Order: sequence, then structure tokens, then C-alpha cells
Amino acid sequence: MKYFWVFFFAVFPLAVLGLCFAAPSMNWWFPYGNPAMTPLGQQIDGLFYLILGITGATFVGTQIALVYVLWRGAVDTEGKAHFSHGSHELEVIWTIVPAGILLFIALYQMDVWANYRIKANFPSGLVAAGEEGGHAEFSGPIAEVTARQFEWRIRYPSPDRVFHNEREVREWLRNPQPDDLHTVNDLHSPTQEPVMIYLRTEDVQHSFFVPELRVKQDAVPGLVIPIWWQALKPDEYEWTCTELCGWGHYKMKARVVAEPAEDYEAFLESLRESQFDDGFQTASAE
Amino acid sequence: MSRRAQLLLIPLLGLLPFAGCGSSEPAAFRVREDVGKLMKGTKSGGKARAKVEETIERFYGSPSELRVWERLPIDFGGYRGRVVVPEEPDYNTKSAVTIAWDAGDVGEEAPTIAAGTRAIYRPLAPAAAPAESEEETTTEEGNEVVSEPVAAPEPVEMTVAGYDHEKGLLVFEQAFPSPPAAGAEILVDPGAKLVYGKHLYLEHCMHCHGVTGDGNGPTARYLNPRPRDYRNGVFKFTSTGTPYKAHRHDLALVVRNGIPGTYMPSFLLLEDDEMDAIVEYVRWLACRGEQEKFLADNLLGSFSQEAYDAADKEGKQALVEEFEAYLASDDEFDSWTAIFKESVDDQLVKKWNDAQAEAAVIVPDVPRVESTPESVARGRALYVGGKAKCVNCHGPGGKGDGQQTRDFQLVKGTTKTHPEPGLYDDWGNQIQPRNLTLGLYRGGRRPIDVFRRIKAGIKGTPMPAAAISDAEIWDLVNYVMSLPYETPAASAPNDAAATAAKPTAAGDTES
Repeated sequence: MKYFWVFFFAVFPLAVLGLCFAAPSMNWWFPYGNPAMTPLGQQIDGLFYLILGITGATFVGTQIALVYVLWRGAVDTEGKAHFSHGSHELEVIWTIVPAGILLFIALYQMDVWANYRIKANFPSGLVAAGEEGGHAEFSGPIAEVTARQFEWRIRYPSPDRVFHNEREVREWLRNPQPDDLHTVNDLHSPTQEPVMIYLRTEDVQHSFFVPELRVKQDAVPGLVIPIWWQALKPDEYEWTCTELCGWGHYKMKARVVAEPAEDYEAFLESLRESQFDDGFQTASAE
Repeated sequence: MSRRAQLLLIPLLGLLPFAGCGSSEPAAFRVREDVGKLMKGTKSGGKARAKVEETIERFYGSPSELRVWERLPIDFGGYRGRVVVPEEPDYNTKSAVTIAWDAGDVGEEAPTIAAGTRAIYRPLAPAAAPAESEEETTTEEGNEVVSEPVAAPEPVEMTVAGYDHEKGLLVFEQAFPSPPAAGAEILVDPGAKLVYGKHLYLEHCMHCHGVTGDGNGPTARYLNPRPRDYRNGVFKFTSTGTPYKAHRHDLALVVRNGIPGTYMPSFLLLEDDEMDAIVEYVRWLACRGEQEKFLADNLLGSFSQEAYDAADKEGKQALVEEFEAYLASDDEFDSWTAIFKESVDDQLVKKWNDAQAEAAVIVPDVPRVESTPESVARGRALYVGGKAKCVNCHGPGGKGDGQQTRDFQLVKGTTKTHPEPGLYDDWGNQIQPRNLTLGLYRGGRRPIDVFRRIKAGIKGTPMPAAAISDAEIWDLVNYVMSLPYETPAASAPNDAAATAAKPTAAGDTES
């Protein structure tokens, strides 16, 4: 029986490690076994692997120590145990080393976090300098996404609308316009270039989550939150709500369609055509 | 507890997550309240309530055993074809036929018919038999086929063994009871769409709209406005004219886009075949509910439990006898079969089919009038004027707070008023006229959607069809669609044409 626990604590971490290595090929890893579909997402994945490496090494080290101690105790039943009231040196070491590691992670990830969350660090086309300022490449948001129980309502600015500065964007967010285009559960965005949406909610807290783009952001009542991404590949990405928002939470499945710029423009045009359909032309064209 | 018993508990703990799984009670269709008011009857007869329940059950089945009743204007799915006997059969005619599919059921693409699919073979009726036969089959496994007592031969249940689309060759596991004659009908996988629709409905719709489609599912009580009760066969947001029922497209549009301002979410990501199946199942539930209503309404006048309870002993006996006589009556216009058939043919088949016709869909005579300030002003004049009378309900500012919302309204079809002031829909729910300043359009935000709301009214609600020309409706559409964007400064000049009170709360748009 005394070797049982040695065996148990040795096998358990080995099994975990084995699973960890097998996971990607079993499709238990990142969504659909794919790398992130955005440059920022790839940096986030990098951080994930870094932390996985650190915690993995720590896990393996502590497990080896644990197994060694158990094994020593099992083999050497005669030896006397050393009794200690504590070691100041040891405590300082095991406080400073993890603190150092945490501090390193905290500092190392700041860039990625800032690029992901802080608007001033967004790609230059998405932010204009100051409230009134603007610059030539400024493009503004592609849409405003409003979560509600239990769907996503999307409002695109008219393709003719040009935002020159932040003030115009704010105005647009505050006042829906007659030429805005609307869809539900279907967000289109151009690929390659960075795009931004503003996220809000009509009722409770929801969360905007597109796993393949590594974008996740809570929609908080009363806040209008900018999110950006740069999809590298045209595709239909799964988009879900990832904040338990009520009994119909599971219904909030939608899609983000990333498509080449010309397809995106064609989509907006066809949306405009159908939204301003007066039923007359279509009837006579048939 | 012994050590061994403790050890045994450990694997049992692993089963905990599965606690609560397993089969629950099979779902059942709920009986309509009106049917509950019918006479219960006695041992000697007069069981009006049971008769209605039995009839509905017989032709519609239960959720776990749906009935395909081909008289209904529903696309039940599956493939229908007729036997073609080739001149030189090169196969064993005992269990195989060449088949010509009905045009509507199988198009260019080969139907997917797997081995093991259920099929119904209908031998040709003898020449003397009446042309009209009650067609009825059942879906799902293990149901007996019910047939009307008509001289047509019994349909035979068969199992498909294989299908070759090139040759149109359909092979069965069983031999035909008699050599199939050319023209005999074969249904493959009957009711497939209905069953698929049911599964999807139970997954996505049931918890609000209820198993029966009575808008009374488990979550319905938390919702305002209430989920739609399909059982009147009335749907609010349709592209069809006032007298018509809903087009299939209208139901699909609502399922696809949801209804903003209500709890109906969008189901955009459903595949086309899923959408078709759900829409068809909802139509079927509507038919079922309507027929139940029609039967109950027909009997309630004479055979309610209330009348039975009120009657003295002889009166009770007379009622029972009267009901039995009513069922047995040979008079074409009085007999049970007659009211049953009438309710199906007139109330369901014709009305639902008419709504699918091109003529039913509202198409404006003129294209949309450009939304100029002049057009908006004309719309405003109509809005407040006596011709369209929008202002009575929707209020001078379009906030949905017109005078009518503060008046006591008559209960439809009676001279009583509702206990609370305000407007009521046909389902008995108190409802608010739409607040037009919010920019939420329940039936769709395309100009044509708003046009159709005004032109045909909203079925089942006090919103009437507007008796104005199409060009005028466009003016009104332009005015209504300008309301959410109205600011005091912008609206003032437009209002010059309007004679009535200015919008009091203009510019106060909610975002």
C-alpha cells in the first residue's frame, strides 16, 4: 500500500502531461484546432503558451518533488524525520520567486492588453486624435452591436457615411439615422484591415465572443464598448454569447462573416437595397 | 458503513451528473378551454367534450404520434409518386416498381431515399369506388394506419430496400400484396417534414409557444407581450391582404428576423430546410387549433356543460338525446361529418391556400413616394386627420398614447366593455399601440413592411386597414418612418401643413 500513493501521484501528472500533448490532435485545443485568425489573437495565444509553459514546468517540478518525498518515505522506513519550525530563508525564496514570475507576466502582457483594450492603442485607422481631430485614414466603427435577450441586433452606418472624428462617431452612436442598415445575428466585416464595433446591451449583461478571432468582451448595461479585430482569412466565424444572460442564453448564436473588402461592400449594397425595398420594383421585375 | 460499501460509493458518484436525465413524460397537446366547457355527458351518451377531443386526436394525433391528414393544406414532406409499369419489366415485380414522382415533390435533384425508409402503398381503388376517399396515414414508427370506412382498398405499409434514381426504380423489402397497377400511389417517408418540424419546434419554440402552439409554454408567463397563440390561425405580421391568412414567407420572415420590441428572437442561422419544416409545423398547429375551435364553437351553443347543469332532470336527458341524434343525423347539414368537413374545407384548406396565392400578397400600385418634407407633411395631415385616424390610438406625437388607450373598449362581439381601459387584441391581451418614435418595427423595417401594416391593418388587433390610396399610404409611411429621427427644429416647418396639435414630445427619441 505504501507504494500505491507513490505510484498514484506519479501516474496522475504523467497522464495530465500526456493529455496536454495529445489535446491538439484530438481537437480539444483552441477552437477547431486553428491558430488565431487575427494578429492580436496570435499574440494572445503566445501569452497563453508562455503561461502554460511556466505553470506546466511548475506543476511537473512540484509533482516530481512530491513523488520523490513519498518514494523516500516508502523506501526508508527507518530514518528519522527532520522537524522544523520554519525557515525564514526558504519562505523568502518561495515568496520572491513566484512574485517575480507574476510580475514578469504582468509586465510582459501589458502591450497585448493595451492593444486589445485601450482605445488609444488601437490601430491608427480606428482612432482619431482627440474629440474634434481626425486624420486621412480614420475610418470609424463598422457597426454598433446591441445585445438583447436573446439576439444580437446590428446597426451599420450607411456606406455613404464618412466619419471624420470621434465627435461624429459619438453623434452616430447616440442618434440612429434613417439611412442606417440593420441586420440581426449576422455581422459582416472586411478582412485584412482592422475593424471596430461598438458593443452595448439593451437589457442585462451579455458577452460578445468570437473564439476563432480571440475576441471576447462583456456587454455592460450603460456602457458603449469599442472592440476591434483584424480578420486574416475570409470565413464565417461562430459568434456566441458567453455570459449567462437568461433562460434563452443558448439561443444567442450568431455569425461573424469576414469577407474581402469588395464582397463586404457588395453585401452592404444588397442590404441597403433590401432594407429600402418598397415592394414595387421587385414586383414589376418578376 | 463497511469499507467495501464506501468503496462502492465512489463509482456511484460518477453517475451523479446523469441524475435527472432519462425519458420524461411524453408531451401532450393541451385541450382548448372552450372544449372544456362542453357537456361531459353521461353513461348513456351526450359526451360532447370527449367527441371533440377524440376527433381532434384522430386526425391530428399526439406530439409523439403525429397524424398526417392529407386533406389539410400542409406540406407534410416525403415523396409522392405513381407506379409506372414498364413494357418489359426487367426486375422482380413482386417487390419493385418504377415510379414517376409528382412534380412538386421531386425536382431536378435525386431524392435521398435510404434503405429502411417507411413507405405507404395505396392500391388503385376499384372502378366503382367513389373518387373521393379519406386519405389518412400516420407517421413515426409503430402506428396503425387508420382509414375511413370507404370502399377504397387498405393502404399497405412497406419498407424501402433501395432506390435507383436513374431508372426510377424503387425496391421494397416486402412483396406487394397484389401486382401494382400503373397509377397506384406510393408515398415514401410520409410526414417526414412534419416530424422534422416538430423536433425543431420542440427545441426552439416550445418553451414559449407551448407544445400545442397556444402561446403558453413554460416561459410564457414571464413575457410581455405574450407569445403568439397560433390556435386562432391568426398571425399579425403578414404580407397578405386583410381577409387573408398568413403566407408561408411571412412566418419565415418573423422566425428569421425575430420581432424587435418583443421576446421573439431571431433564428437566422437555421438552414432553409429547417426553416421550411418549422413554418410548416406551425401552420399545422394553427390548423389543429382552428379546427378544435370551430368544433367547440359549433357545439357550445347547444351542448355546454353550463346548459346541462342548469337543466332539470328531463332537460338533461333531452340534451343527451339531442346530442346523440345530432351525431347520428343523416341530414347533410347537421351531421357531425358535415360540420367537420365544412370546418376543414372552408375554414382551413381554402383560406390557407388562398393566402399562398400571388393575388393575396399586397403590392403597392405606385412606387414609394420620395420622402420629401412635403410628403412627410401630407403624411402628418393624414395621420392626424379623420381619414386615417392614426392619432386616435398612436397619439399626436406617435408615442402610442392616443385617446383610445384611455377609453373603455368593447369586448369584441359583445356589448360589454373590458374592465380596464385600453386596447385589447383578439387573444384577450391588453396591448399598446406602437410607439412610433422608437424606430422598432415588429413586422419589419422595410418601407413595404410598414406599407403593408397600414394597408391591411394588423390582424387580430384593433389596427384597422386604412381606406386611403396607395400614394397616400406612402406619404403616411414617410411620415411614420421620419418620427424616430424627428427633432424639434426639423419638424416645425413640416408641421405647418398639419392643423392639429403639434407633437408634444418630439425630439425626445430614445436610443
